[in-house]
Amino acid sequence: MTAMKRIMWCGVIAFMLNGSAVSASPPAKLALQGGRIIPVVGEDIAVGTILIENGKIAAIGKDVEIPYDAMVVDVSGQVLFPGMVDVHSSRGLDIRNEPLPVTPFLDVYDAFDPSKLYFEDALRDGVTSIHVIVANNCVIGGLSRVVHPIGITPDEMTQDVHTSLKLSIAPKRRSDRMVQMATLRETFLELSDYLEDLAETKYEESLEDKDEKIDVGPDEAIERGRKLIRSDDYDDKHANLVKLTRGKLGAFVYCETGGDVSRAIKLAKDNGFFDRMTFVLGAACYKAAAEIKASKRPVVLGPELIYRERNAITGEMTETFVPEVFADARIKFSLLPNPNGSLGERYLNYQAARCVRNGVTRKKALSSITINPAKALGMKDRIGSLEVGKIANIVVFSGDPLDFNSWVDQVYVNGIRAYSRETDVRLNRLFGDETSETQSEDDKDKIDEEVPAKDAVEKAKSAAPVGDKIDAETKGTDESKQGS
Amino acid sequence: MSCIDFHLYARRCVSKLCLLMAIVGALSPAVAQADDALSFVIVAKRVITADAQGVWSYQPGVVIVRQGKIVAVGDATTHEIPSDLRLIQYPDATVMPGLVCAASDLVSPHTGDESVAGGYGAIDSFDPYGSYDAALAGGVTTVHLNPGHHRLLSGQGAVVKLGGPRDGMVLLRHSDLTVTFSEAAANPPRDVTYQTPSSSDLAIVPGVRQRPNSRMGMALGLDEALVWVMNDPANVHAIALRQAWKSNMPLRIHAERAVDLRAGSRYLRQKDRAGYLVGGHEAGLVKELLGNEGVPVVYQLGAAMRGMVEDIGFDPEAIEADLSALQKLSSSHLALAVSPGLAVGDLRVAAGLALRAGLSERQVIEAVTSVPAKLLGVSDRVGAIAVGLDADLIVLSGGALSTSSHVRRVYIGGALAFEAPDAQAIVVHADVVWVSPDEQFEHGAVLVENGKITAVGKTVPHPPFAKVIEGGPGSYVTPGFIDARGHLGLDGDSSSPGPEISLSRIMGVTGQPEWRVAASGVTSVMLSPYGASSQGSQLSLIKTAGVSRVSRTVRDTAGVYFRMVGQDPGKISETLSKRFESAKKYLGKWKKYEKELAEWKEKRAKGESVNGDEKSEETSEASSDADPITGTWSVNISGGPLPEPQTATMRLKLDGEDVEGRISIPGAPEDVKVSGVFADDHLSAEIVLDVDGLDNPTIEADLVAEDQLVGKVSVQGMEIDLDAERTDKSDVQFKVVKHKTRGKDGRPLPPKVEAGLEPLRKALEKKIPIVVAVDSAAEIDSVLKAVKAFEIDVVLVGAKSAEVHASVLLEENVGVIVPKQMVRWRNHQRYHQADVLSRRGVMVAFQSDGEDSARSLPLIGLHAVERGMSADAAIAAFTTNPAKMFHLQDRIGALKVGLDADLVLFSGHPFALESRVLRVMINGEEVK
Repeated sequence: MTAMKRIMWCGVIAFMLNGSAVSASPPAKLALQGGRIIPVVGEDIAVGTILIENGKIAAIGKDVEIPYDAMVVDVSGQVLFPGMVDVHSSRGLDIRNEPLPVTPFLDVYDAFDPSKLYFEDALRDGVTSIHVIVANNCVIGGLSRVVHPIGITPDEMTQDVHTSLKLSIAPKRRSDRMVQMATLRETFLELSDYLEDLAETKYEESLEDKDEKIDVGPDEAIERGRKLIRSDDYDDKHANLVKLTRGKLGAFVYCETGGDVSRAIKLAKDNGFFDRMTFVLGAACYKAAAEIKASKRPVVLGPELIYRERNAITGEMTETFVPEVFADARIKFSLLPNPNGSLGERYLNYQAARCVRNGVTRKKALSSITINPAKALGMKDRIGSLEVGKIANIVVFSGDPLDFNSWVDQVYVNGIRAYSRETDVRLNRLFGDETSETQSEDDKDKIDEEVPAKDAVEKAKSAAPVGDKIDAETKGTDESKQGS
Repeated sequence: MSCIDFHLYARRCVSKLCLLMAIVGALSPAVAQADDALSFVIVAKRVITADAQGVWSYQPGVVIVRQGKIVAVGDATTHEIPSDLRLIQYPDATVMPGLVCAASDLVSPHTGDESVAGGYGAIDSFDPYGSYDAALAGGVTTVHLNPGHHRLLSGQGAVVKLGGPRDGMVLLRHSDLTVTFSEAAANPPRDVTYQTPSSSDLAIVPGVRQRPNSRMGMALGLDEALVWVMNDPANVHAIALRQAWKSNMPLRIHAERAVDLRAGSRYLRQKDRAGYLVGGHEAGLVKELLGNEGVPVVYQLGAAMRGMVEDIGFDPEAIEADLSALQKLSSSHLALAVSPGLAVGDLRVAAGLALRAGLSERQVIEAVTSVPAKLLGVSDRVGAIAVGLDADLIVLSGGALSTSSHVRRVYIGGALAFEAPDAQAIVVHADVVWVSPDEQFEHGAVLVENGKITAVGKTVPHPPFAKVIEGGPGSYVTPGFIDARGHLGLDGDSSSPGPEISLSRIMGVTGQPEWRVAASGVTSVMLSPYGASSQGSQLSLIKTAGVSRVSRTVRDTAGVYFRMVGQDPGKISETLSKRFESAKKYLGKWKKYEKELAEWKEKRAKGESVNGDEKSEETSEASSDADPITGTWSVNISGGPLPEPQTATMRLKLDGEDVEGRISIPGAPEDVKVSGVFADDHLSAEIVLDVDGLDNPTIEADLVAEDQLVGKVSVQGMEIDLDAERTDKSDVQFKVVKHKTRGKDGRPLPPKVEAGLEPLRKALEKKIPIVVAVDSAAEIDSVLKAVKAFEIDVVLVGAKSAEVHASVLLEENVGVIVPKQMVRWRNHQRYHQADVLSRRGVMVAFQSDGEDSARSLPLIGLHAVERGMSADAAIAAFTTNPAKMFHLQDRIGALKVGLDADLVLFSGHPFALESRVLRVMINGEEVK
């Protein structure tokens, strides 16, 4: 068996473990007992218990009465934290953007791949809700979808078919802002033209049915025809745009520079989706903080948290820590992981920790990876905090979530244990020795029986360079496919 | 900023007005400063209004700004200045309206394929939050944004400001329809429409061919497009073009060749539309453009400024910008702008090239301010300094169109939009630059960078953002004056400090007296104590002003001061020689050490063994025989502060020349260590008490007879007589602490530092001079004798009878610091000592012999000149002479490259009656 095959097998095993967790019916009642609880909304509980019933949080507190039939998990010494929310991710897609600029008829449902390593990593990193959406390299992208990182089909993974359209004010690659804005205006102009034509046609059809002739002027005909249009009359190209302009779809609007912000606000107000708009902001947008605050729309801060600018005259470099500017302006924001940044920036809780390090309060930093993104997705009544009635998406950290030494020990999604570090095949392969050290006497006996298996692990480790390389390569193609 | 400016103003110009204001303020506390960042008054050396209707310029001028708008402009000497506003003073600067660049490539051309596209707006590519410092640094505050001139109708232009209050930045979202009549617009790509989502019903259509293919198709292409848009198609470009056309938006036609310019102007006339031409390199060939009826032209120039132009060879098609065309165009129809590829910030210089075509400064300035503002349709907001317009002002360090002036500040809508980095460089222009007695420039300049003079000459470099100080007509710049002996900052302390005390250490912060002296033009003082110790006191050369002690100190130990006035001339030489002798020995030790060290280093470098000779040295020294010192001495001390004589026992041991011993005083708890040197029957030792704050007592005694020492013990400046007799010659018993002569690695160890002899060591090395106060000819004679023997440089102070020895002084290169009282009588004739000495070639310098009385020093020079001294000699006596005397000519005393930037700018010759001190600079910092 070659090293590569072995790695593939490891992946399959990991995958099966995750899959089996989903397919198994959840325990009706589950109590996570004795851990420190950071509910994000509400006060921390030093030692407390969360009772989960049918996938929802049924009780939370210091003294929760545990029903006799509940399965009890001891999490003493550990920290219970809401499952984190990645509010803007295109990494689950096979490619991040279509070459066509205007594609409101697309749906990420058709393009995301449950077997992607990304979803497995998300679970391992404590992310339980992912808003899969096309990337910023577009004019109007497709429909998005909120998923959780468990399940083997897109349908199983789907958490909310809610969803939004993606728009970008910053130019699509090989384009520029003049063309970008003209294309956006053209799209909505064409939409209203289409709706007028459709209305006129509908009116004419209705007359034909009654065998009457057109009796009114075109304007009146259009007015009358509008009332006759039913929702399935719209063609694919326009259906989602109609929903957007009527406030039935959210809009995630990407702005790259401060100047883009006012253009985004104007576009949204002109076309009726301002109330459903969420800003996705590049680092330079901090300069428009006043405008953003006045708009009162949710804010998602792009992966790069530091804005660097060189003075054209003195050559001096100034660095701005963007979340701090927003926190100081009292704007609530959500953070994104930065897959292209340093290793740490891949983790949402690391991004939040950087905020604290740079002067943002702990509460704001924790909110920015949990309840704020939940609000931006319109799901604040279901996810983003540990409160009674919410979906039991819970991360069990070994320590404080903002501590660099903490790791994700267990993850519960819908009250099901979706991840446990103990049984993480991939990690076990990487840190085989460490895990075996921490195992109990009984487990050690077991391992002794499985000497051949352990040998295999050892061999895999000795071939690690090769394995790493392959790993990196697969990852590399992953990234390059997705584009940016 | 405003505060400093205000103080500057208050000090310099209208102190009386200020006083009045202060009184009014005190009487009516209700008078408050208008607390508004966008309201202020600017007073500047020159204000160019660029207002064609009003007065062209005021000198000096005042601009009053309220809420970001100009409410008044006028002559600063007559115009009333409101007291509730911040006052900003630019005494050297030119203030003019922010420049308007009617063409820019700040926005890159759009990437769309449409040949006629009214829907592309350059404003969509503008980021009001962007940083436009590079353009602002060139003085450009308003620019036209161009959607591109690569298509027949590229889109709509916009006019924006590059800073200031955010809501006022966009002047016109859509200012014009940008048309291009040139080869660049010909043969546009095919216009492709993608059918999405494509299906079997929707065929993929090949791209549509677009006009123009050639010049003929240009006007036709536009006309076709206009017909198309009037049919109300649902298309952004059509709708935008229709609206623009109906609202009579001006046409902006890019054209360079004569044929295109002609076509452009014809098209405008044909359609009877407002508009203007941009580019215009062959405008001189087009009759229609010339004269007052012609179409306005935005002429782009300066293409070759950042690199070479392209080779033309025999290419008949090449376009060569013809500057002479500028002359033929009506100036009210001519705007100047940068060529494509040139940064917007280059506008001022590029436009200045039009001066070569014979345009006046006024025409050029109008062509970058009021005319483009009018062409772009924003003359109700910008383009001039006139009442009601936005306060878009630029502050230039020098002339409006001078290559050596730079933009120091930019205000847009009253807000400070750009400030040049702190002046790293200052250029002082003056009618006469007095470099040294041998070298002067007329109409020269001095460049000061980082506190040093970095260039002097007829012309000097003007680095970017250099501050320029214009001396004005008749102005005269000299090195900072040096007070060759003063007591600034001693505050009346008339003690005579010992030789180990450096006066610069007691220098305090720069206070009022120091500022007073500095402002008079005296930038350095040779700080001297009032009295001198018999062993010589230190002199320190300091600057009169500065932020820190370090920056004020030029040299800690700059001289050793002896005072020999009224002493027995016969003994002066002896006293000095004795002192020099001990210093010479001390110097000898150091020289030996330096030599050994050099040898050791050489050996080590060669890799030879450098260890080992430590022991042999010790053994050889241990075998010394009976000697005149070793043994037990009975000591009697008496006199001085002692009420009655006392006795003590001293046990000494001689080792080579080193003496080591113990002294036990009855009643004292333990023995005290004594160490010193015995040579030539003289014992010079120190009683090691090591009490903090007290110097160790010293013993100076001579072996007058065998077993008998007579001398003195000095304690804290008091002297006690010592008389000792040896009672026992046997070797004494105590632990000898031997000075190690070698370190662990064989490195020679330095000799012990003797603070009292350090200054003289430097004098013997000819690093510093000794300065001797003398009077009579005999005294001078005696001093000269002593210093000649030891080859020490000397400066005489006072020396009333110096002229007797003038030839000797000249020969020995001895400088004389003349006494305060310079006019004397001799043989019933009045004569001026400085004049007489300097005529005979002796180096003279002036002294204040006072503290802040040094402020009147320059007047002494005036008096000397009036008494016949040459003016250059008098300036030299304040500058180069004292610098030379004190061996500081590499730091101060001349306006030479590399020296400290201490300079004084006078309104006329320094010793002319009407001349005033205009500016004083110390270490490159202006004294204010």
